[in-house]
Amino acid sequence: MKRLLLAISVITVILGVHSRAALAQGNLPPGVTVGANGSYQLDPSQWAPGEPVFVQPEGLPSFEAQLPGGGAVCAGCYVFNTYSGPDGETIVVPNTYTAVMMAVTGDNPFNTQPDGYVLSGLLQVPAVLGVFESMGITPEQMIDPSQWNPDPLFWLNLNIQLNGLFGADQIDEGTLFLATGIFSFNAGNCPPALGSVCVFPAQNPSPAPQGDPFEDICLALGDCKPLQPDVCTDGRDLRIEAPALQYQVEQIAPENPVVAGQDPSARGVDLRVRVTLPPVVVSYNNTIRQGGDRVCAWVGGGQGGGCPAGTKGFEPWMATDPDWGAVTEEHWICVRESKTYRDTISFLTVQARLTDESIAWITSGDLQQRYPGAKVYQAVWSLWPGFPPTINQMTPDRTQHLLQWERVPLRDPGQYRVVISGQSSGTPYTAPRQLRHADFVFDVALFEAALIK
Amino acid sequence: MTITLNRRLLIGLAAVAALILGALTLAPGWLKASSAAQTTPEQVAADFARAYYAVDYRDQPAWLGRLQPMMTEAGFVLLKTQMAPAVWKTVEPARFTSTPDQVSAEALDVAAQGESQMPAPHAWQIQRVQVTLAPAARWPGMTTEASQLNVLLERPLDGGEWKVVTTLSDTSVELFKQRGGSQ
Repeated sequence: MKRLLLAISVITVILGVHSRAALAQGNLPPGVTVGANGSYQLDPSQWAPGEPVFVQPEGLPSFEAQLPGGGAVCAGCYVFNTYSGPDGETIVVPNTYTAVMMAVTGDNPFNTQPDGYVLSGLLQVPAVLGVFESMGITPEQMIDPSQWNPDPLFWLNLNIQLNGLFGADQIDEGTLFLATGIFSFNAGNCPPALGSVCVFPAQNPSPAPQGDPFEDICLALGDCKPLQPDVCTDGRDLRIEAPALQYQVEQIAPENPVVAGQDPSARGVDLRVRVTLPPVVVSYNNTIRQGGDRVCAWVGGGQGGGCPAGTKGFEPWMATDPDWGAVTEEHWICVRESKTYRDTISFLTVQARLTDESIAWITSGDLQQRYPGAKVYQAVWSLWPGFPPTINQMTPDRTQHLLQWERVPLRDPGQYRVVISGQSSGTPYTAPRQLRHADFVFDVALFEAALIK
Repeated sequence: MTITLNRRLLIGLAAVAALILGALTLAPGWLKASSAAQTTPEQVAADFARAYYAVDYRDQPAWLGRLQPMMTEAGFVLLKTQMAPAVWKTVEPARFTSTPDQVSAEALDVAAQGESQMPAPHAWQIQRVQVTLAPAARWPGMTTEASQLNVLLERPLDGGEWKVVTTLSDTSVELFKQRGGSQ
């Protein structure tokens, strides 16, 4: 591990040097300065810490550490700490593991060009120069870590070591942190991968984009080529179909659950949740050149060889005129094309919440009058993550997650609402979507005994 | 003072010197073997599980302090920076407290094991530990008093103590089985 730390130290020093260079070029947003040791100073009066964004890296292993009580934390996710500026700017700071892996894989979850950055890709320079060779990783391998085949313990330790260099609290304090890279996005340029993290101040709206942003995306992705004029009567006609997110929530058993405290078997309730993110389909017009009939045409220079009889536009004299020949007529046609993009589940939470009405019923309503001192034991149950599911199936493409819990021992009577929250990854054409569903409610009963004279 | 050297004295001195030298050379090995015998991975995993499940929501440093000696340096950083905040999100609102005598833990078997060569040669094991809690010590969200914990431990191949790297979900254990070691 000492070698690894040494390698990382070298990287940090190199990065620090480059950071200062970047600052001189004015890449960094105001309120961010670089200290003598390459650390970044963030003016807390300008930059407010936001929620960190977690992204599951594709093609790299990630690990879950098991917590007491059944929860888990992702020890291998890409983690981006975010900060909001006064004018709607957003600073994104990948943690060390994220920065290193972004640098060496070239993967970048942002599909928007940042307005300023200190490129963590600089890490690739020392990597390719062999800084990691002491760990048994050659520069050639470093180019494509997905081709590595180290054992999982190495991956895990690499992850822990890189993430552990600087604690989360050091960054959250917003005063001093050693960053491995900074990306800044101005208001109106929020990448979809950041979801709702970006803040847009109402008093200072971002200027409207010059052109059609979807046309720009289409061209940038190579989905579209510039249209030939007057070929497609309806122009590009770019359409984005993002079908509604699908939620399936069921109370499987029993039909009439009873509070766990009154049931000797503590049967509880069984619940099932399925979240499905349908793909985003983008369709658009393109113009393509198509070969048509053979026609007689002027070639010139005696290179035509004469046009054979029967060719479209043939005149008898063309047969012997060497300047004329048969050529394939080409023309532009308008074609409708489409492409499908996966919108994947970035994170998901599921809770069972006692409704406000039921809480009031217990604490100050009828139940309180009948049972003075009645109280709410647990109004919110964090099912995912939190309560160990008996079924936990995520499809490999991460577009569907099925969770089932059995014998959830709800302790308070009343009506519970199953609340699903989360966020999708978004696609090049669509921003991440918020997962929101709270339509499903179920009742948990209380046995009451009455003395009848 | 006159010292008379004779053959018997020289042999005696040589024997004592050899004895001291031998003891100095071999003693660390004896100590190491003795120490290793005292801390099997099963014991370390069970001790860790007991301390892991005994928590007082008012005193995170004490919880961390009990776990730190059993963990690798890197593992402890993960515990402190990523796992502890997640644990406290659960135990603090619930004002949850449990004591070590309310937790029993027993290593069941080795879920997977292997060797890692990078950056230094290490042996690793995943111990499956059965944790049983007193009813009053059931963690928030737990439906039963029994739980299983996967504990990842490592030890340098050239000797040393088994230390805990982290805990692992069943899914992550599968990853180790598939890509790293034998069952």
